[in-house]
Amino acid sequence: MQQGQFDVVVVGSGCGGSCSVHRLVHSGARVLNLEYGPEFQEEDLGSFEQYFDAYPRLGYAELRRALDRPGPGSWKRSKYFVYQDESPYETKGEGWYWRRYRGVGGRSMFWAGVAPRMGPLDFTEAEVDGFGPRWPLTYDELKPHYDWIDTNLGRVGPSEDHPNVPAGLPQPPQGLRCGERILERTCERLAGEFPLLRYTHSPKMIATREMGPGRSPCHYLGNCMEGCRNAAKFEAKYHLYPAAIATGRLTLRANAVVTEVIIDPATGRAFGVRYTDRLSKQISEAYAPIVVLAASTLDTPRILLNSRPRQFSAGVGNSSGHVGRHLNDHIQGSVIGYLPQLYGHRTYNDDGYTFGVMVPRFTNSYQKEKGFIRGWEGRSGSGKGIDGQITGFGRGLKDTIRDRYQARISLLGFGAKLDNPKTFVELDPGGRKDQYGMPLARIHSAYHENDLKIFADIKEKFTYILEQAGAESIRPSSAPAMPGTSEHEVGTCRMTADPREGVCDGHGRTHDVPNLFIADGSVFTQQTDKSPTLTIMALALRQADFIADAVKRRSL
Amino acid sequence: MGRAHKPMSESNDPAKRFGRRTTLKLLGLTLTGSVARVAGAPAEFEPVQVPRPAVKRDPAIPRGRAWRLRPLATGTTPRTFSAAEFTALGALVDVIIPDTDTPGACAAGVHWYLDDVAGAEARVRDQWRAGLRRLDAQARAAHGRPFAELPEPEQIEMVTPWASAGTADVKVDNAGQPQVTGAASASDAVTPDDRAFFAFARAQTIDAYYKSEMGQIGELEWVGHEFNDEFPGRCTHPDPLVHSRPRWPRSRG
Repeated sequence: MQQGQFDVVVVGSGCGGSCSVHRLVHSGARVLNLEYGPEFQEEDLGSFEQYFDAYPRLGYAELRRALDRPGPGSWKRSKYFVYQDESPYETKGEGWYWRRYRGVGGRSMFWAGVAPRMGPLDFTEAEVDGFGPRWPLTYDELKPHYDWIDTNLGRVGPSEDHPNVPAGLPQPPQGLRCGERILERTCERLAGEFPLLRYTHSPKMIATREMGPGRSPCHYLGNCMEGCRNAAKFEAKYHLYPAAIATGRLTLRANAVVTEVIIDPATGRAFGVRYTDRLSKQISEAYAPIVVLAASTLDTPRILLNSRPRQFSAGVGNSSGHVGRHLNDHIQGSVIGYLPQLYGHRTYNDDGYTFGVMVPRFTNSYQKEKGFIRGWEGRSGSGKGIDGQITGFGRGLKDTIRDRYQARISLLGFGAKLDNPKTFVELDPGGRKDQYGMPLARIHSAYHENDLKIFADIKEKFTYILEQAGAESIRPSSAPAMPGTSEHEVGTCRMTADPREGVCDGHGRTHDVPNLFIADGSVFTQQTDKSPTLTIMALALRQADFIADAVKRRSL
Repeated sequence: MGRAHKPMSESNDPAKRFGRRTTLKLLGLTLTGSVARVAGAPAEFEPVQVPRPAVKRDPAIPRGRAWRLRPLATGTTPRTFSAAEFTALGALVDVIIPDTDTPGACAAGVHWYLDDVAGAEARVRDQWRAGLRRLDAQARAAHGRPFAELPEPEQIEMVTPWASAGTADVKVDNAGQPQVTGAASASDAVTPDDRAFFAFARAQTIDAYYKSEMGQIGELEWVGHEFNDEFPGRCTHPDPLVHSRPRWPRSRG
């Protein structure tokens, strides 16, 4: 591609990349957007095909490919998933379940949509407990961008603030299901014991009101993670790309696997990126005076580490040695039970949207009171569940499963993991590459002692709540879900005020290369108990404003 | 020949299927826990004690329609299992999920489906083979006939000790392999392998049955995936269990 054709090249079109692209083109920039995966086809989204329809059509072997671990967990999504045979990765230690959705819109297609704001304390908690660097920005600096998302993209949630979970400007959420209502009441009764305990609506990037052309309000049709054809849930392809393409300033190129950042040897500045066409395997280069990487928390550090010009022999942006380090996701534990109050309940349509309930952090509230630091937040849902673990057989088994079908209640906790030196991503030390010429990833993971204390606390508290609700067959998860399962990985190019402690500054600009920016989850300074997506989007918007402003002032 | 090989058209006829089974065998074998109220039930539910019927069925729903739905899979010749193994498989899955007022596992095509699954997964196939062989061997030793040819009460009597492992004793790992962790069985004739096999067979049968249209829609009466204008979630559906409770928590908003 010719020099001078584009002002910015953005790598990735997920939650971070799409926000970056959207804001930049509307600021007047000519943007080239490169995406690893294909364009999404509408019919692949939200098809809600039942297994008994899919099985005769596809056969077990085909379904198994999609359902095998590690995988996308659904045959409908498998088309947009990168499997081991396409680009393998290795794990060391506790393992890593790396879900690689690749397509225009990235993970926004298949995410659940849970989007709490980070609260003021999340940015400064490191000062309270002394663990790790603090964020180089504050809640107030991010708030206008959170507000913009609420107003322009739509987000439901509780109308009241919870300490450190600002409500923002939410639309009305869906109602609670029967089982959820029982738990809401139980949690109200436990207020004396846990003053901060709330069983409240989940903040989700879903619109329940009219949001303009091309979008419909939520149709309460079930699993958000199958994709939303109505575009009620935030999906970059429907929410941000149509307007961005309409400006005429966006060139979107799918099936482009970016392998490295090109650095101008004379100035040490980024010059463009090199990419491999996923279909033809042809290698091309794209040039622009500003480069934004939003390739995901595990791929952005790979691109940086694979870029080794003379000036940056340890990888671009890696003079601090922090690229690929501080990999973090959520430690995940669940407890399920069955509410006898609902046994024998007639089956009804309780689809609604997924994860309608949030339990904001209520224990270990921002102080070291439990022998561990940081905390966790929960999600909950009730309704159809097949109790496959009960004993017995015959008519009794059949009737019990049926009687309990509507009575299932589940609680799922997401705990903030702490950085540890044994959890990071690196390039394959043997130099092996995939078919696109990209060195294979090797993901190391280990639990911090604190992570396991949080996991124990999740199980203890949720089991107690279910006991108080009178639930039966309460089953806490025996071990934390495999690292990576939460798909909330962050931290591999963390932003810090001190260039020696991290990779980027508070605007996601790399400390080493002034025109190279990072706009995905890898910039997180610390993991919090919140789902990271909304903050990734707000940070990308803030960064795009910074870039536009700097270009105007010619300060880049 | 065992029930498993009966043609589908025959097993789809409720009149024929019903009554053929003795209900005697079905009573008393229920190993599932009782559903008596727990002591710690929340206070707000106390005033209304609704005695739960043994099996609550809404008479408005014609359960017979379940028999007209599609089985998950059908076939003429098993592709993975031998004829003897397939016959035993069919008999076993029907013991685990029998015909009641709705179709059982064989009627829902579970055995044909499992034949397909086992063809794709060698570990699953080997586990089925080893277990079914032991099942038949034990049936022959005790009764002189393969498992599928035993009358149903004897089949049930035979597998009851195999099913004695609680969930605490057998855990199915991520690869679908049951891991027995508990103490040895009370009966010397039943090995941990047998109990692990039964837990495996039950998990596979449940998984397949409730994926079928007959299981999901016919038995569980699943409804969903309909467009809705709103989701008030205020338990507005007519349900005596819920709405006869005067102090049922109502929406606050």
